[in-house]
Amino acid sequence: MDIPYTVKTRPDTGLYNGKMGIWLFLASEVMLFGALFSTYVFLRTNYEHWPPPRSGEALSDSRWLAMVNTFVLIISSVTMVMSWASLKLGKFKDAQRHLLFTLLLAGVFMVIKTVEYSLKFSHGLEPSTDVLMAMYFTMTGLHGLHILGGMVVIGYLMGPGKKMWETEPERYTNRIEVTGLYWHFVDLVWIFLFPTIYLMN
Amino acid sequence: MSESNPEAIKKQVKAYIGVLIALCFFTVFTVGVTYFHLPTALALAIGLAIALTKGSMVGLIFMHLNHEKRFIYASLSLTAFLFFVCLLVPVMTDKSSTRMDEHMYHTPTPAPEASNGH
Repeated sequence: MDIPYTVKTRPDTGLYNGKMGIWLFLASEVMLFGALFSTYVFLRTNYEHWPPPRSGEALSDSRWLAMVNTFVLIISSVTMVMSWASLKLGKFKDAQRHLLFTLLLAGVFMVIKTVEYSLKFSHGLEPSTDVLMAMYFTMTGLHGLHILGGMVVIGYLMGPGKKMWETEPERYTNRIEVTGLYWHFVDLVWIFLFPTIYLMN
Repeated sequence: MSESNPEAIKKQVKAYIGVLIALCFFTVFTVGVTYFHLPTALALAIGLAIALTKGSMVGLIFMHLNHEKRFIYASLSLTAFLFFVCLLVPVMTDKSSTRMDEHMYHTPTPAPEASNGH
């Protein structure tokens, strides 16, 4: 039995299943990260002297690495949407190449994040050090897990998942679009995380 | 987004590149502003304004929110409202008079060594 509305849009909402599903999922993700940002604001406004000296300085020193990561994610967002655009134009090989770039850039992001974490640990800064470090590791760690999840999905769509292009190209294109929406959201979270954690401390 | 017109897609690709350049510029600008040592409130306002601008560009152009369906707009509006409730209510309703102070950073004094009992 075929699942309806995987390609054709529903008459009531004008959306296909995947797009409605991903937007509802992203709404829940907004609440997840929103709760963390809210926690950060709440904790920060209750401290008379902010930031904690060592952590604040360490994060300020890391801002260049974080800036590079910002560029990496922004470019990966472009390559992700270009993958969708290539599929809309029927250019499958171009789409695969853009997906590969997205995956590689995500890998670069994770490597830089690992280097950053290592530098913190080597200076004796860990989640239990103080509130700022707890928030830093929690928020960037959760964000990093989202990057990893996205990498798994992109990897699948480049690997076993790409067979769908031969049988149901429109449905495959929709999957890329939906993955792209998730990826842009992850980029969006970083756009707010970067100044909040690295620049405003 | 479901346009299949090649010309429309190519036009959008130009928009994607334009947004990429703008995002890179604003990222550098955000870091540059930190070197001016502005008052905290002003620095926060500028940082937030830049982040919102960048976020809007990602949402409107990359996520195609500039021409989405009403269901999406309605869902996101509700989400945005609840997000602000989540963000602001704890801060605005906090009646605690104790502030988490410098004593939180105080390095604890090592406990005195236990005597051997001799």
